[in-house]
Amino acid sequence: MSPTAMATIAYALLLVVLLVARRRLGTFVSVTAFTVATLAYMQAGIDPPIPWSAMRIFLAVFLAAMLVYITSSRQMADEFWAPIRRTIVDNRRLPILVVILLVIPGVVAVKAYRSGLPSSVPPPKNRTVHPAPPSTITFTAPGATESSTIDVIAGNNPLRALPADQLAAKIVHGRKVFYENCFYCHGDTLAADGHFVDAVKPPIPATFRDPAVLPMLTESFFFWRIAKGGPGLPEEATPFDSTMPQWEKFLTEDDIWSSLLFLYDYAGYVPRANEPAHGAAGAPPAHGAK
Amino acid sequence: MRVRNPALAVAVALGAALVLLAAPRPALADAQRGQAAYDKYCSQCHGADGKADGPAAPFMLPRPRIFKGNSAYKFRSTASGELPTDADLLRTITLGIPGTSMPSFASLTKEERADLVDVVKAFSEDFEDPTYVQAAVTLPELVDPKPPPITAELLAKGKEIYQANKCWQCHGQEGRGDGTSWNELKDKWGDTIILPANLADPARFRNGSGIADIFRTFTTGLDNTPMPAYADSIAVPDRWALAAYVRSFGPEEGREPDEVVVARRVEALPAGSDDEAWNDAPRARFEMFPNIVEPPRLYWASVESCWVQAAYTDTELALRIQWDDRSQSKGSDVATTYPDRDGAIHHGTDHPDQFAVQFPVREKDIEKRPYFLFGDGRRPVSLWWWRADTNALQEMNGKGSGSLTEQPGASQSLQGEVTFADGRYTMILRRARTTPDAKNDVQFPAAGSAFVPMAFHAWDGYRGELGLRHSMTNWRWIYLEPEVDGGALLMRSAGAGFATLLVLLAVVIWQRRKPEPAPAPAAAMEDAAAGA
Repeated sequence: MSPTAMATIAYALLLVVLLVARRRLGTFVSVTAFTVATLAYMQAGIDPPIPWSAMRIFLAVFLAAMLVYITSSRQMADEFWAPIRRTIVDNRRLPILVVILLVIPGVVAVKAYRSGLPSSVPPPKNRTVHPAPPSTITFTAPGATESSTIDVIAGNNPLRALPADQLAAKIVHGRKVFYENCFYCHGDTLAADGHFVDAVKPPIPATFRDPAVLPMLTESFFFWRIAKGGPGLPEEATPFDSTMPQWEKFLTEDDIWSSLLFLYDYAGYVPRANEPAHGAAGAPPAHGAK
Repeated sequence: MRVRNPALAVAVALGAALVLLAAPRPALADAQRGQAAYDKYCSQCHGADGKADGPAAPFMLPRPRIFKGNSAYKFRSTASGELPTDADLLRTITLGIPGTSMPSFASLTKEERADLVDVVKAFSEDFEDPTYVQAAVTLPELVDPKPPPITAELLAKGKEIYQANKCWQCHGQEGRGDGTSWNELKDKWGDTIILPANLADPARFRNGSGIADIFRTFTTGLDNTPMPAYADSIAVPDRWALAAYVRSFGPEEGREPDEVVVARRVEALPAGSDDEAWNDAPRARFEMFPNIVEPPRLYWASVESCWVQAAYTDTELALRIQWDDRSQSKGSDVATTYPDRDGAIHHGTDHPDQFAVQFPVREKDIEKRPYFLFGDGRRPVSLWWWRADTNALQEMNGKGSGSLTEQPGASQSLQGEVTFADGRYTMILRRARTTPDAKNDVQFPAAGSAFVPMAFHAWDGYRGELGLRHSMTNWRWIYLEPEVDGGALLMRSAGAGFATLLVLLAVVIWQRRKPEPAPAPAAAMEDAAAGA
C-alpha cells in the first residue's frame, strides 16, 4: 500500500474517533487535534507533496473555518477558551505555563535567526507550461524553399485520415523519428527521464505518460511546440531555458505528424478534439500548403 | 427460444465460463507477451532481430548490446566467460545501465521484465546448452555480499592493491580513466574503442556505484571488454578494500547535481589553482549534455560534468572550474566541418580543447535570461573563453550561436590560468566584479543582491568536438553570499524572542488579574445535568 493511502486511512480513522468522542474530549482538545492532524496530513501525508503556495491558501481558509467554528456560539467559545485560561491562572498548571512561555519565544528567536542567514536557494524559475499558442504558424522544412501554413487552433493531424495500413506505417515512422531525435530527454518510455535530463533540467521535459499532457492538448498544439521548440515560446514560458530544439530545422511536416501518431499510440491516449472556431462551425480544418 | 429453466441456464453458463477460465493458457502466450514487450521497449535500440540496429542505435555511445548469437554479457554474477544468470539479466533490465542510454525499466511489471529476460536469452543457442547453463551459477562471494565498514586502513589497503594490480594502466593514478593505455583498448570484436571508466564519476559506473556493485565488477570482470575478472587472483577481503578505494575517488553516495555555486567573501583571492584556500569553497557539480539542439548536433558528450567553485573580495571574483578529459589536446585543426546527424565516433581528431563560462551581459536579463545556447539577438551573453591551441583566455560576446564576437583588446581584463594533470583540467578565472565596459561585460555589483545565471560549454578536441559539437549546461546560478555579522544577527534574534516573551507575560498577568467569568447559562445547565 502506498504511503499516501496509509496516511489517508489513518487520517480518516482519526476523524471518526474525533467525531465520536468530541464531547468527551472537549472543544479545545478536539479542535486542536483536528487542526494538527489535518495540517500534518496535508503537509506530510500526501505524495507528491502539495506546493507551499497552495498549502498557504489552504492554511488560511482552514484556520478561518476553525475560527468561525469556535465562535459559532457563546458556549463553544467558552468551552474552547476555558482550558487555555485554566492553564494561565491555575497554579497547578504552572509548569505547563512556564514551558509554553519558554518554547514560543524560543521558536520566534530561532526563526528570526534562520531568516537572517543567507539562503542559496535559487529564485524559482516560474513558467507557463502550456502557453497559449499562436493561431497559425509558418512551417519551413529543412532545405525546403516553400513554406506551409499550419492552423494551430483548428488544424488536425492530416495523417489520421489515412487508411489503417498506411496509418500503421506512419506510426512506425513516427517511432523512428522519436528514437532518433527525442528520447535523449523525453525518455525511452516517454517518462521524461532520458539520459541527458539531469543536464537539461530545469525545466523538465514534457512527460508524455502524464495524463495531463497528451490527452489534454490538441495535436496541432504539439505540432507548434515541436516545430518552433523553445525559441518559439512566448516570454511567459521562458523560451531561453527550454532546450527543446526548433524541429523545423531537422524534421519535415510528415515526420512531426508521424511522431505525434506514435506518441498517442504508445501512451494509449487520444488527442483532444479541436473546438470549432467562432463562425467556422462545420468548416473543414484549415490546413494545408498555401 | 424460451428458456424453460432460467436457473439451469445460468448454472450452465457459469460452468462454461469456469471451464474456459480454468483451462491452461496456451504455452505460446508468455513468449508472445515477451516478444510484444521486446518490440515495444527494446527493439528501437537493440533491433527487431537483436542485431543492435534499431533506429536509435547509431546515435548512442556505448552502442547497444548485440543479442543475436551473442551470449557474452558484461554484467554478471558468474565467472568470467560464463552465461549470466536470469537474475543478472533481470537486474540490468530493472536498474538500467547508468551513464548510457539504457534506462531503468523498473516501471514494467516483474512478469514483463521476466518475459524480456526469456526473449533476450532466446537470441543465443548457448542459453539452451545444458553445459553452459549448468556453469552459469552466481559465485559464492556474490551471494548476498556484505561490504565491510570503510576505514582508513581499508582504503590504504585498497590503494596498495590498485597499485599492485596496475589498475592505473587503464584507469589512471587518480582514477580518471586516463591511464597510459587508455587509448589502446578495444572490445572483443576489435572494432569499437572502449574507454576505461572514469572512477571519479561513480554516478556513471555501468555496473552500479555501490561498494558491493564495484566488488561484483572486479570479481566477474566485464566480458567483451578489457576489464578482467579478479575472482582467481585477488582474495575476497582485498577485493572489498579495492572496491572501497575505487569508490573513494568519487563524491559521496547519493550526491545530486547542483544548480547553484555559492561564492563566499574572502580577504584575498586564492593565489593559484592548488591554493589550499579553495578547500574552504563549496564545490558545485553541474551535469553537461551534448548539443542536440542546433546543427551540427553531437549525440554523446566527452565532458559530462564539471565542478565549479567561486570566491570574491570587495573588488574581484575568482572561479575554479575542473573537468575531466582523458586527452590533453592542443590541436590546431579548427577548419573541419561535420554534418548534422553524424553517428561516427571521431576518436583521435586534432581539435583544440576549449571551455567557456557564460553569463547574461545585463543585470535586467537575470529574470528573463538570454537563450541558454550563446544568447540571442535581444539578450546578449558574456563569455569567458579558454582555448588550448593558443592557451588564451578571451572575453567574448554572444548573440546566438552564429554571432560570437571577441571583445576589443581594451575591454579584455580576464585573468587566470589553465593546468592539466591526471586527466583533469583545472581552470582559474579572475576578473574585477565591475568593469568600465558595462555594455559588454557581466557585472557583479553587490553581494547577496541577486543570483546571477551562469552556463558552461566544454570541448574535448581529441573526440571530434569543435564548433557547435560540444557539451554544455542549461542555465545554472552563481550566488555571491553576503557576509553575515553573526553577533548582530544573534542579538537581533534574541531581541525578537524576548519581545515575544514580554507580550505573553502581559497576557498572563492580565488574565490572572481578571476575575473568573460567570459560566454561560447553557454550560451551567449542562454542568447541572451532569451533576444530576
